[in-house]
Amino acid sequence: MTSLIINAFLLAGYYAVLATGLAFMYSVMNIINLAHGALIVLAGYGLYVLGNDLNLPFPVAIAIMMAAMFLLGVVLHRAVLARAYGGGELLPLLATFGISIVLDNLMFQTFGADNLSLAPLVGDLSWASFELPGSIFVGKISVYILVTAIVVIGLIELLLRRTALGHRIQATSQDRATAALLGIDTGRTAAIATGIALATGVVAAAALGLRSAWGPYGGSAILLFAFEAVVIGGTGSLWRVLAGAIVLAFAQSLGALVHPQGFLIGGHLAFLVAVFVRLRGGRISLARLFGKEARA
Amino acid sequence: MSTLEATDIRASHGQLCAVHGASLSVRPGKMMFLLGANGAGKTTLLRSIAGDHEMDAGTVVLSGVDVTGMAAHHRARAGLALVPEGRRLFPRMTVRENLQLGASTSREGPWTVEAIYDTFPHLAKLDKSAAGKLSGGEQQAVAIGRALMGDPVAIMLDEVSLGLSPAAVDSAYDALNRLRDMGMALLIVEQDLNRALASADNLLVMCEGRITLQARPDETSLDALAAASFGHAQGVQT
Repeated sequence: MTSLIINAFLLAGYYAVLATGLAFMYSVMNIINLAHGALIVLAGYGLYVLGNDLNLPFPVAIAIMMAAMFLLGVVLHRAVLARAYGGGELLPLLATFGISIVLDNLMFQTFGADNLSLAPLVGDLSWASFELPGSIFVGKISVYILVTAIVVIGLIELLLRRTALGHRIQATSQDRATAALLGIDTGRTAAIATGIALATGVVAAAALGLRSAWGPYGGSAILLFAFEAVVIGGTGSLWRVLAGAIVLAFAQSLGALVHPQGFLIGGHLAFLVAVFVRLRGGRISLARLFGKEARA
Repeated sequence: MSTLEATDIRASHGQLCAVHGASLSVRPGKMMFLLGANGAGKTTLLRSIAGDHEMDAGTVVLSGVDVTGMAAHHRARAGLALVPEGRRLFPRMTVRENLQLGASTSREGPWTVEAIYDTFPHLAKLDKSAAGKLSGGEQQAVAIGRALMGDPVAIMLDEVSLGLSPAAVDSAYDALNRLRDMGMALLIVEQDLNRALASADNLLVMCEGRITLQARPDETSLDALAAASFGHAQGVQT
């Protein structure tokens, strides 16, 4: 039982890492990025090429990929999202859905159908474990991922609440017209925010590749878990994403306890309950689905 | 030379033409009032000048520089500030954070958060309060302070006294008079005709998208202003 609880928390850390970029994009840009999973997979391939083919140390590969994904985010915003943004709720959804399909197939074309893993890049860390009292073993990677999730969320919250850039990002997301009247370049600010969201995707890609393996079409599964964690937790503060990830992980673990195939069903049930709770007694909208409220 | 010169502004909301060729010019150290009934086009005119509303025709010149083709944030960086109707503060951010956002214009000038607190002493103790929790008068002071943080040369204020207590209105106008004495150009939309007559250097009245009266306070009267607001010909036509 103890090990079940501990493992659920560790799994929650993984889901939180996956969901952070998605929640950030939605809470500060009002865009649900359906290409979120595909972009994480793309970052995973980038890490693989840098670490495996070019033999760069893993931290260096992560730093390079974060810079690359940040730039890709800026380009993505300027080329697609800024144009789609004015067209209502549906247009960014369709645009990012299109991007995900293009990316999926480009990656299939380029890297083939093989499943890849980043585990060989970190040597024995991938199977090393900590022993807790009571002979409970937990994988070091999983612990590091949970710690990373907390650090990443903490850093982004710090950025949003304590820095001038963070305040400009918040102002742009809450009231674009007024932000512009104050001299804020809202297009540039939103592009930077997109870049930050995509850069956090590199952390997610590292977690994905170190925990397991992925294929070119792995993005939709990532998107599903990230989406469920965000809807369960709600947006407004990224800590709620961590809470949503914990609920999702516990629901899945409980499901697995009930029936060997209940793992996914448990998570989906928690998600559906969250959907019904959020949408009860009112009109159906994406903002209500995500528990949208202004940032404290 | 005028600080703010808007010429033949035309603006519309979809098919509805809200401003039919309005011109105005505000000199440094002058307070110009823009009056008129609801729906006369005052807010649309201000938003067009600020670049918040895309205008159909006309030019806006700020301190001799044509800013017509510039986006709103570039106009703000050129020194044009708009305090919008309803204040539009960021309610969850603190007073200080709201003020600091105003410095996004990156202009050189005398205004700092501390200078704002000197001008509006009652804001100092609200430094860390969420802007959304303040009273109307306090919010208006923060909104004016936020505009000043950008060190503008011209400042436009939409519905300054709307929803404020008489004491809060007095305090806001005390501050605005000091800004005028500092040489700033002020363009103020006001519903209170008496207040406008008492404070203005120049008065404009709009009706149905046109400027129906332009006068100095000593040349006109309350009746003439009211008549022009409703489109009855009186006073000095332009």
